[in-house]
Amino acid sequence: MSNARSPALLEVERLTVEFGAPGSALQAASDVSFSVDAGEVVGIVGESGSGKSVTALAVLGLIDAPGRVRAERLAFAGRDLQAMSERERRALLGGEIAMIFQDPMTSLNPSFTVAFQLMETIALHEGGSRRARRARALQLLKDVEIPDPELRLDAFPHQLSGGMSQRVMLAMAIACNPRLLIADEPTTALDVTVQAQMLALLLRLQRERGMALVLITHDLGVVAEVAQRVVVMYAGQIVESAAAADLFAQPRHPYTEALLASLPERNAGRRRLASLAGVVPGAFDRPAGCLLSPRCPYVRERCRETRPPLFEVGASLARCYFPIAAEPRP
Amino acid sequence: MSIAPVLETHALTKHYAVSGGIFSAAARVRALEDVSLSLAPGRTLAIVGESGCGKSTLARQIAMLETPTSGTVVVGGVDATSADAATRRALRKTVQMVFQNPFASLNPRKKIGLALEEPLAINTTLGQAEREARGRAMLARVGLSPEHYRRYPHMFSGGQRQRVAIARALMLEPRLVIADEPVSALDVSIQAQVLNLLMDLQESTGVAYVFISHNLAVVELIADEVVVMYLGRVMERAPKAALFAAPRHPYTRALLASTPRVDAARGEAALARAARSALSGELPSPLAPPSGCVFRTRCPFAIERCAEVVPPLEPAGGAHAAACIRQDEIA
Repeated sequence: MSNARSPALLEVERLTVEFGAPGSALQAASDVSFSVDAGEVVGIVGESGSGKSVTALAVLGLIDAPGRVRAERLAFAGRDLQAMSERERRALLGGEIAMIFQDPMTSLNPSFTVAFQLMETIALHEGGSRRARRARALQLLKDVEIPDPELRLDAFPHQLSGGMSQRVMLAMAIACNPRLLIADEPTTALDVTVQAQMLALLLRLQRERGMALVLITHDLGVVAEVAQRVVVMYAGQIVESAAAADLFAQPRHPYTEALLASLPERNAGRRRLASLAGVVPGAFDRPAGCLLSPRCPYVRERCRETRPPLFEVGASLARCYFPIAAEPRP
Repeated sequence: MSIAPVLETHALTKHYAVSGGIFSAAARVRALEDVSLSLAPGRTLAIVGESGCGKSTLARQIAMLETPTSGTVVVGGVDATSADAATRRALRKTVQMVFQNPFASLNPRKKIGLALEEPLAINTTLGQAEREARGRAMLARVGLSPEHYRRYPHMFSGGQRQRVAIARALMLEPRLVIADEPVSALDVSIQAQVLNLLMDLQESTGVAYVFISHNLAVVELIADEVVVMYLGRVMERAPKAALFAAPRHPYTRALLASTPRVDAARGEAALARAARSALSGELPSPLAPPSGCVFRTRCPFAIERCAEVVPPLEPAGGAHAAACIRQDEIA
């Protein structure tokens, strides 16, 4: 793959999502740019309110009025998503692009069986006879490693555990062999031992099917295990974007550094956790300069005055005038 | 080491009756079976386990909110299970709780100051001025500003609310605070602030914590001793260092192996291997727990004998004990 770069599978350039009246609108995501290559695993990390879910919903075209989405470019496999008709875009969803959400209990319809909901997805995108669709549904349950799949086909969602519901959601998402799967906190509602099973399954499916995976999470440990590239968001902006190995070994943005430093596992043997003072700015108290400036330990005059763009720092991108310099790791 | 423990439980058991539907008999949820533990003053005991392991049921028994089916809870040397109502009321003052969700545990119609003063108004004879003085002093101790005293809960962030909940729990100067997943609902950077606060307060007030959590990384930081539970039973009990250095029960090992870590990330192949060998399947129903060892249906080391006997908690050197008949073989 040394020839000229083919366009990425998903291209997002200068995406902004706003809510509220123009003039006093809240930018839930502002100036967000990233891309996902075919077969790549990208992690989007951030705390609540950082804009990670809103970014995914905007890409999928799921932000309803009065929310407003603007972007210089929003393209999937070279096709402009913004220029598409509503109909074309809907056909793409659940087909070539699929998404799974955090809470499996509320994403499945409680009134219909697993088989019905799986077959509905298949009917919409591929069609086929009833019998063929049922056979496909059974195969999908086997693919996501559900025990006793024949039995589970006719189960209702309330008869399934959380882990099993999430597997059914995943079966539905991969039903039409998507080229891109967006998973929004797919393991947050699960217990750790079930989470490990789920992550291993996601990665196996991603590799076997050559699917690109965007994993949205607040859990840095999960990202470290799964992602090849990581995007860190804070208060609606991307603050750092880097290869996973680089990000965890050498964070360039003070926020990433602080997040990693506050992890209990990086504080072994210490009596107190390193912690970042203050809280994430809310909708109406965002500072004029760098959004992290009120909390940043390295803040200088310039940071308070103007908001920094993303700078190239080594192989990473960091939204900081004074990024953390490389230092040899001991 | 002859300090009287602030809390002891002996063979604590709690069953809940549930109706079995129209055609079947009433059933019993065995939420807690034969749990014995002890906690010294000023120390932190962590209870670890996944959902349905009985950690919150245990918390409700210790807080004397429910009466156990059998077994005893001894608080500060007094048996709370056989005590009369007046004694229990007095004991309850010494045990306070902090809950997981700070959005649900504060009354949205009461100002913060009132929430802090209420325990004093109910349990002491202090006058209004004195109550307010104590409330304001406590607010400062948990790192909030004086102007927050007259605000409503909705004006606070999650981390600030959890600070208020902690302040409220400490108003009666309890000897024991039960913290049920106190940082699980908080973001990483806020989580660190609240954990630091809990540790600072323990240092200055000498309060003991029962710290309930599913997050082993947090437990490794804050606990002195750890109890690992599964399906209502204690699987392993040990001082923190011993547990993390040399876990003896297969379930503890699986929990440790499943916890995602930033450093020493396992990579895809190792992750798949860990997930397969660590644990298969999911938690069985507490209505019909497996015979013998409750963990055997998911245990990679299970043999036939595991289905026959309920393994007792066997000492494994020092204060370390594990409930597994094969612990020496697999160690």
